[in-house]
Amino acid sequence: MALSVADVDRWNAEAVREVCYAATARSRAALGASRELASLPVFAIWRGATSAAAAHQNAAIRQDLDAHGNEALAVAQAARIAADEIDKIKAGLAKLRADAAAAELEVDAAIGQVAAVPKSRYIVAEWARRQEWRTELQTRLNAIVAQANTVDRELATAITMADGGTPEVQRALPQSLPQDPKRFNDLWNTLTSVEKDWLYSQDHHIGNHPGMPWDPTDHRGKDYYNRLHLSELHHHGRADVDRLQHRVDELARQVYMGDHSQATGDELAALAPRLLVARRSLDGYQAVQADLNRTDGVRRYLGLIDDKGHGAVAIGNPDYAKRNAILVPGTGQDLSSFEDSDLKSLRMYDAALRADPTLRPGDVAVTTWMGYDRPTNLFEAASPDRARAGADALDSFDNGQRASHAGGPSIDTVIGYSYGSTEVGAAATGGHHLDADNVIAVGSPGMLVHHAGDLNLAPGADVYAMRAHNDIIELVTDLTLGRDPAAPEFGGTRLLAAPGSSSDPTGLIPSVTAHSSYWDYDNPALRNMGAVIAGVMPPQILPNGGGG
Amino acid sequence: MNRRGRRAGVRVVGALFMVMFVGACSHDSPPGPPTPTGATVLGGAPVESTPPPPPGFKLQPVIPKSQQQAQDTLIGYLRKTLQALPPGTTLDATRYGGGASIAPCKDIISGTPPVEFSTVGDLRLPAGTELGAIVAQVGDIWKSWGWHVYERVGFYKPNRFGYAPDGYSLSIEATSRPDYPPTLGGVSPCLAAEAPEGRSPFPMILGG
Repeated sequence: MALSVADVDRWNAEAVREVCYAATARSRAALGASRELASLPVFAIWRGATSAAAAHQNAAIRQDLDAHGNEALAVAQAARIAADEIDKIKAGLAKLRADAAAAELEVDAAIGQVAAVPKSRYIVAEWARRQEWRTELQTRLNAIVAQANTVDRELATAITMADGGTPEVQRALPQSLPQDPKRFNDLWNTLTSVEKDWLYSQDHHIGNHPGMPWDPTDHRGKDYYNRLHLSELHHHGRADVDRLQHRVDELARQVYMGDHSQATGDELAALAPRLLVARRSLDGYQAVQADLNRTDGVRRYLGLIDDKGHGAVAIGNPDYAKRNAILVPGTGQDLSSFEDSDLKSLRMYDAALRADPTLRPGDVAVTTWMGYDRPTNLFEAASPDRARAGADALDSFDNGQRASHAGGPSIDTVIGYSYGSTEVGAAATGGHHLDADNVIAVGSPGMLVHHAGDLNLAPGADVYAMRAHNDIIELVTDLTLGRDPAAPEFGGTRLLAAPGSSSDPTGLIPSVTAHSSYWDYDNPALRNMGAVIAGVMPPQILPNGGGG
Repeated sequence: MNRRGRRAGVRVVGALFMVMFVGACSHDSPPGPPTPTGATVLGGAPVESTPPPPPGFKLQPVIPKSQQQAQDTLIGYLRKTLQALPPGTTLDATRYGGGASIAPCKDIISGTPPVEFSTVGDLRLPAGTELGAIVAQVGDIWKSWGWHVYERVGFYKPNRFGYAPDGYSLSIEATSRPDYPPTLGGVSPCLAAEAPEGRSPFPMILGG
């Protein structure tokens, strides 16, 4: 049933805020109990069948507590938003009534109409003027009532969902969300913020779904939900480290006091690597958070985060950028070093703006994408396995970015650095399609193909390659990862890079320094990358007949 | 045996070297100013010949003790440049986020790498200024300070890179659009990551 002006008059924002406070308290209690269960030290030391059964039961209880806590949180958020909106609506109504009174008009709350104050006589001109005011005020009143009904609907939906009802979103999704990024985007754009919050309460990874907008007008997109999830991951990561560290300290103390039993030694040996992994994860979450908090004047958006070492942060909002770039880092780059890769992206962001003075800041976005399992050492980097395993992730991420993009399609450039270029190659081969207009292989060991034309990219896409003369990567090209993309025979467009320094005075031995020099301030490689991202002619293309 | 042939000969040795010394995509370059090493056609001979520095030029990097000092020094050089240009000329960094950035100037395997302070902006010139001449004019200004100045290969032309004896450098570069004014930027020498970070907001519009 639609609300009337009289219903709005009876609304009480403070009463709705009380609902918010109560739901928040209930949510905290439930989630807090869940966390306490997770951090009980007994589960680190208890072993055997009973332990497994108890752990299983514990996990089930935690799941219920989490679900209850998240539902209460969704109600609390909806109530807070509704209370704020009620304040705004009532203020708007009060202003409208004041304006009406000044014009000798009044609001009939029962029927929702603006009417003239009864008066014995009006002259014709005065009557006509009053009718104009009445029409204008009626339009404002209709908008206020419509907004009130929207707020009422959203709050009702939140409460219904928390009560286990069957709201529209649940009826629309009997099985699962659409995997196709375009269909997902179409669905997402029809949901209310309450429905989106409910979906998040059911799946905290939902912000990673390809096709979800980065930061839509209601701010319920990738950035919002992934930031919420990052905060939770960080919290759980800290609890894990504290719990494991506590137990390791206890065991170390026991050993120091003379306990040299095999059980103690085995447990200590088993816990040490787990503690290292937990610490690395925590470092990663902290690094991504620090990156999001950067105050260098360009807003960051969190496009991907999970508990497996994957993350993506965009400089600028990719949905509204006319020029989009994705940087895919390579070997040894984990979330704990995220800021270093982000700064490479920032330099490319500036370089694109520098190349084309007609571009405005919102026109460019550069995303650092660590969505695949990067090799952690050179032995892993010699194999294409990790690139192939991550091919679908990059392919899907790029498709999702296309699907959520507002307005006409952007010019998309994917930059693969070192083994990252192998990952880019994998995402454009083996049945995969990378929907990029440009690909740049930077310091590449190979892209898993023999020729640029073998890459399955957007129609008419250009393939670029650059390699510093002294880049140590030269030593492993043409081996296990495909032909050297910087070789003329590869068929790509070769871009100039500064040679970088050699490891020896005679210039025979290449260096790691040169491999990392592409983003140096005065390296022409950076200007070339900026131009490709900007969609303009790069300053220095190398002839394919000239060396190599 | 040519250079490329010798390269092939050291591939095995180099691969061993790589396995022994590289744990990640790391980077270790000496501190100091960006060295104008020239540019090279991949696999071929260098195509950029660096002109000799002016008489008496001696590179003696002054490592900034703080980010504020790096910023102040760079702003000082930029202001001095603008003062020598037609009155009303400004440097507009509003398209580039915060106007200035701090970034690692070398990657290291462990610990925190040193950083460099850099900035870039769009040159705003009084109406009627001849765009084609302004780049050379700025290069001449830097030369008059005793800097090592030349046009570099691999950048939109015209351009000039100016290297100061204290390790700072500035560059003025055309863009892909000849009808637009050039960009002007600069970079400090590497400074320790532990150097004090606090600095005043970078002026988004810089005047002479």
